[in-house]
Amino acid sequence: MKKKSLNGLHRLIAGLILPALLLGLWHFASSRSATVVPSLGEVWAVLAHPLRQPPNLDSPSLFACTAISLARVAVGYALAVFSAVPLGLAVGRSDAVRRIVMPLVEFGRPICPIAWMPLAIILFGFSSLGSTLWGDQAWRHDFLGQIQFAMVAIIWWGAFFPILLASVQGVEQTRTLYLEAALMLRATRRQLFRHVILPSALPSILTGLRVGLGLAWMVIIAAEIFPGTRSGLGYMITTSHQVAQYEYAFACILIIGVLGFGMNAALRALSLRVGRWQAKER
Amino acid sequence: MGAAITIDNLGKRYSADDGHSVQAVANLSFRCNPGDFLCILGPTGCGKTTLLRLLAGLAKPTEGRVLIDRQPLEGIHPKAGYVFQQSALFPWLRALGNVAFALRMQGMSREARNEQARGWLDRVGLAEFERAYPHELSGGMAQRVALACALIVKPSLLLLDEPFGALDERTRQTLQDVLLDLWRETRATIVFVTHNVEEAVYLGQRILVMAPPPQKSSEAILIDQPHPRDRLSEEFVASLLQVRKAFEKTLCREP
Amino acid sequence: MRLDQRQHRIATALAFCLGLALTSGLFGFSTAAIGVGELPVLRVGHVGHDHQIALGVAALKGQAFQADCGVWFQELKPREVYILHERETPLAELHLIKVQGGSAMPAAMERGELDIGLGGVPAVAFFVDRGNDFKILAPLNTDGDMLVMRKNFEAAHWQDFVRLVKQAEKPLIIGYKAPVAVAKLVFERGLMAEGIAFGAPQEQTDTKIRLTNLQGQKNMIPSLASGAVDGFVTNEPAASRAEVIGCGRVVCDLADLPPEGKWRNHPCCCVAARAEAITQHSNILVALLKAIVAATEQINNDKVQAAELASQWTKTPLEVESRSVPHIRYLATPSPEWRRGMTVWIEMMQEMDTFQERFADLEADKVMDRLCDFTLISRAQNELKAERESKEKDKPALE
Repeated sequence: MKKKSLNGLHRLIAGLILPALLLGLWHFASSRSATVVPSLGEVWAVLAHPLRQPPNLDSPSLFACTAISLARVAVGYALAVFSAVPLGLAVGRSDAVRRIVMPLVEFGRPICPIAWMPLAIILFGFSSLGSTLWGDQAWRHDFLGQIQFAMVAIIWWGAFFPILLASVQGVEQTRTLYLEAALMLRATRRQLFRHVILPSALPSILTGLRVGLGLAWMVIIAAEIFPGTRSGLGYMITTSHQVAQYEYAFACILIIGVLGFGMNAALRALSLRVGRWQAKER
Repeated sequence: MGAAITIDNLGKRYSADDGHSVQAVANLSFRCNPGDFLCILGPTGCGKTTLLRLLAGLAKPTEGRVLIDRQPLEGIHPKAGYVFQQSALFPWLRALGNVAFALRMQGMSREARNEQARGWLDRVGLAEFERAYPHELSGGMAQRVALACALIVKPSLLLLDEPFGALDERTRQTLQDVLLDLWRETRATIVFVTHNVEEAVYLGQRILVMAPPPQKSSEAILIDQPHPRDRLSEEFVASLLQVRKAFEKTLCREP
Repeated sequence: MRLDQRQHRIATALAFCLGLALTSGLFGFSTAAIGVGELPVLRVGHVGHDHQIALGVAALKGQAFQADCGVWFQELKPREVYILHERETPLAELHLIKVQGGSAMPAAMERGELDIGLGGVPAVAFFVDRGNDFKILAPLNTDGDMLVMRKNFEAAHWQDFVRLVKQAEKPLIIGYKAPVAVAKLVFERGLMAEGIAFGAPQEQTDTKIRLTNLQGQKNMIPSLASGAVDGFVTNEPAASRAEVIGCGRVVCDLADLPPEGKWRNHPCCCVAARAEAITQHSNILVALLKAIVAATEQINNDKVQAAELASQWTKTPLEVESRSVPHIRYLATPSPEWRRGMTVWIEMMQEMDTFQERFADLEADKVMDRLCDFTLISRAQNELKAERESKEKDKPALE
């Protein structure tokens, strides 16, 4: 029992070594070049007041920006999941679908989502969930008015491909052995999909979901320089650069990292739980 | 209860990607009565797995035909069960879920199928392992579960493809006895593929020694001893010798 | 009770959607409706920095502003939604949308997402050249471009700078934000007038000044602070910001560069509108322009208060605005000086062959004709004058 808790403590310490080193480096750098690198204290002042509207930055509070970025990612990511997983499963099952869909997929995959921003702006402009629902009065329902379709489209593009490819792969790597075994156990073709292919593909799909979420989170930060944006972590970073109040940018960066870490950990835990039958399959 | 099998001039040719083709099975004919225990003995590559798959309906013959209960076989026979060489248990289901799988495919309710599945797990001696995942089971245990999976739907024809090949001697013997018990209970026709001469003699009533085409397979050798057989008895050893001779013959004639 | 995996996923998805809906409900409480559904909505784009504080001054002063010109802004959502009133009559609902500078503004106008744009003259001109139907209604400001050097560069004005440059052994590296930025173009011509050779970093070794594209305003201060550049040319308030932060010092106003007087009143921001807005909402536009003219006068009369209001409106520290506002010339009417500045700029563009379509090879005044429409600003000026005269007349009667 005692040994186990020591291990836990060791692991915690090991995980904190690098961050502690970096904090030290940061403190050293900021004390030498106070103009560009904000001090730990300045950044902490920002983090400690997440609900406060920044007095010298044209941006909503840290909390509001975080919530908005998360909401945008949520919408774009959900769209990606519900489009990529079914499509991936269809491609895996049907050669005809594969031949129609995959050439386009392979063409689109290498195109970085940010490259589409000009096109997204032309297609969607400033339109948002709010503006679709309430038109000119969207400003009264501010949260949904800030979930712009252009950004959602960019995020969707980023998350779509890894999820799609993982789903396709998940279906493809289903062992014929299991399919035949199921057939011998009286499964119909339809039941094959639901009871063999899907559970077998699930670990791969979950990995794809994890990768997709990571990408979506990365993309939102860059995508928030769209015209007409006035909130979000990426927006706060950009604005903070423009006016050289870098403590906000640093605070945002920390939050982005922490949230990214958390999202990844959550999905990983889910993966492990769902895929706990995989222990020896590797 | 068991199925009658008739094979008539059965042949199976596979064409490989680069054009040339392989004749896996050629000109095979035999009959099997309901409730028989037939062993198919042969070295690796003689087409025994192919033959089993043809009997199961997992593959279609290129020549000849298969008749089960005097009906030509179209696709997978609804009353056939199959135990694969490698463990084909679904790794994402626990033992209970695996055994209950066939009943689930047939639409049985959860309580009913789980109850039956428990019964079968008990029969193969794995009652305490119903919540184990396949990766947590040893090879022998996995094959026992596989037997339960196949038998839960009371098949009239049970096909086994070298199911005990990867196990140690002791486990293999135990499982052979388990199989014999289950056979006696269900009276299904069993077609058992193996490359182990002793196993074939211990289990089979009739043994078909197969050779890779173009060689002809031997006639079925009858082993008229009652089960359970004594491995050390004289008759057993004599049968062993007889079969081994036939087996060696097919080996020698290899090109 | 163990759920099927698929059911589990569906449940998760539903819970997720529910959570999203709840969260958005939390944040999206509606403000009380003010019964304004029938007012026309005008979307006004702006860049949110102190070149355009005329709008901000009018908006921040609220109802008190009408004492000056009859027009005032009723705030519905600070810095975002206002109702434009003329005395008691509400005229329009104004949605202020902040856009990044440059071409984002006219691009949004082109898409129909903005009716009015407060933005840079160059970008608007380029879009009109390409065939868009915008018109510049009035200027907002001129000048405001500065040269900023690192702190230890001992120059207090342009002559100092020229002298030090000519004496320097190593070439100086000066950054700019974009190739067609007015600041950069004026600076280059000033250098040419002084006979100082300049070039891009990779060019010949006898240049005294290397000009480098810093790819946007936000990279200027870090580049200066890290020593990657020795200075940069840019518009306010970025120049004053660098000074306040402590990494640089404003050396001179680019309007003072030689040839003497040529660069005074070089154009910066303006009020532009789509043709549809001009025809459909001319009354609203006239009212808006009245407010801008009045606000500009107030700014010019009291630069200290203007800096305070600018700081409030643009969320910039007062320190920065107090330095920046005095460097900018605010004017809302197309005076002769402004027209001259525009002519100089247009000729410079024609020299560089920047206008490729409608304005190609056109004389400056023809370009101005096509680019600008001063009927509304004239109306606004006349109405203001008439109002003020009548107030003067009324005064003795009230006393």
